[in-house]
Amino acid sequence: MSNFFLKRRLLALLVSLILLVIIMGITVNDRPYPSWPERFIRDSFSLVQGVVYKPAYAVAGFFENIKHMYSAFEENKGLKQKMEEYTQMSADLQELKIENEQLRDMLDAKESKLSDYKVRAAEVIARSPERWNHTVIIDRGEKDGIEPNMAVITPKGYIGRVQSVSNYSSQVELVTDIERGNHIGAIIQGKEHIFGVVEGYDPKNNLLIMRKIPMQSEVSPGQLVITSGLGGTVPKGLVMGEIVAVRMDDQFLTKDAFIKPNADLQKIEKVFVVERSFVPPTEIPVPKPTEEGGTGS
Amino acid sequence: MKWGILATILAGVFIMEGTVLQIFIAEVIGSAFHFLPRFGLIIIIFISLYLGRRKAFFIGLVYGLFIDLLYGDVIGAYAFSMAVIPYLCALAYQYFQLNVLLVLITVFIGVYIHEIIGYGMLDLFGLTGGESFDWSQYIPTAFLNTFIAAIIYRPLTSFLETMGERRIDEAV
Repeated sequence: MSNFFLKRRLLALLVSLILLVIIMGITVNDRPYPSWPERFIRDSFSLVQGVVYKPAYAVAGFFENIKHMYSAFEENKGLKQKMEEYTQMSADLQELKIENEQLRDMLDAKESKLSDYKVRAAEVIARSPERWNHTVIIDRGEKDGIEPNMAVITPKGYIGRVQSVSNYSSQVELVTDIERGNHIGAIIQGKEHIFGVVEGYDPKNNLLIMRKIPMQSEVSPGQLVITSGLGGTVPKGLVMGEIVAVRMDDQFLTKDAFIKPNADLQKIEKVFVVERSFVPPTEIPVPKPTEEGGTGS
Repeated sequence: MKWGILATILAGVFIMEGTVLQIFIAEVIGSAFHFLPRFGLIIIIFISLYLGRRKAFFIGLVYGLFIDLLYGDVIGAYAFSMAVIPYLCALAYQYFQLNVLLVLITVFIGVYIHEIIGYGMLDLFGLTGGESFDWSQYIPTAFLNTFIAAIIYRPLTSFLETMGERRIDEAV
């Protein structure tokens, strides 16, 4: 009898282990629209999390304000100086804009559709308490018009993309969780644009890595990196960060640039979800079969 | 009634891990080193030591499942480790008497092994981003969680001891 019991228990153990592996295997892929039980649980938790997160953030912000008061005087001096530069810059910008418009009119060139987008405000309500899933949960979902793969930004720059949407909440994958096909087309701003793909993350130094930059291109620390808007749902011109280091890759064929994200990924409170006006087609065009096959000569 | 209180505590801790503690960690610790709050795991290890490992197994399974559903990419990774670690912790205690030091050592080892299993699970499905395994980066997590366990040891054990006869030795 006990022998039978032992056998059955082993069987149960094995079956449950296999079941676990199967469930993990099924759910490992990106699922932009999760099933209804998941949606239900996520939405109901998001209600409570929203209630808890906002006051906690307010309290933390209060303490930070006290910390900042000590350095306010010094900061103020620096900012004033910057402000003077800023006036000059905005005047220049206005001039350039007008000039640009005039030149466009003369050339009959249309505005590029790549950088056109609308934003929706959302608030962060939770963060994943984990090491590798750099996931943030926001309080807007499918009912508010959020769709998977939309870019998410803060005023400081690009922070990630919408990974999966429930009815009233959605999960945002931060740029630091970049490894699984979540590559972002980017441009290094310099004398001329250098196109590349941000496709890695260095967790030790918290830097993004842009690989396969042509050898002869001039890349140096301090240059800004923005999104390129080529392909996908990320519009052009969102600031990603600043280059802090450049090095040869292992084969000495191309360069790698290390990018410090501009947005503070540790403290995220309010974000904007970017809806792109123009989404480039993703299907590979298939040549149409000729309709009058055989009738031609 | 008592089980209701316990469930409420666990739900509160679960919410806190994702919200309040994240802000607190970002404010105080920053990115100097990694600290993952595992307060739920600590409580479940205590449950398994004081109320029996089977109950803790199922509580851990549900708790881990919720973590997977809300934050995870894979359903099952945390459910597995959250259920197995407390069970094994209690299994090791069949031959010892419970005292503060031993319980804290158990929490330390339990949290540490939990992180390693977590890494292994995610690495199995290629979710770790090519980050190589580094045994030292979980030490702060294990230490700080043990510290928290030392703080909540007294109130939690006295509460758990009222819930049932101490350490019902289940048939193997």
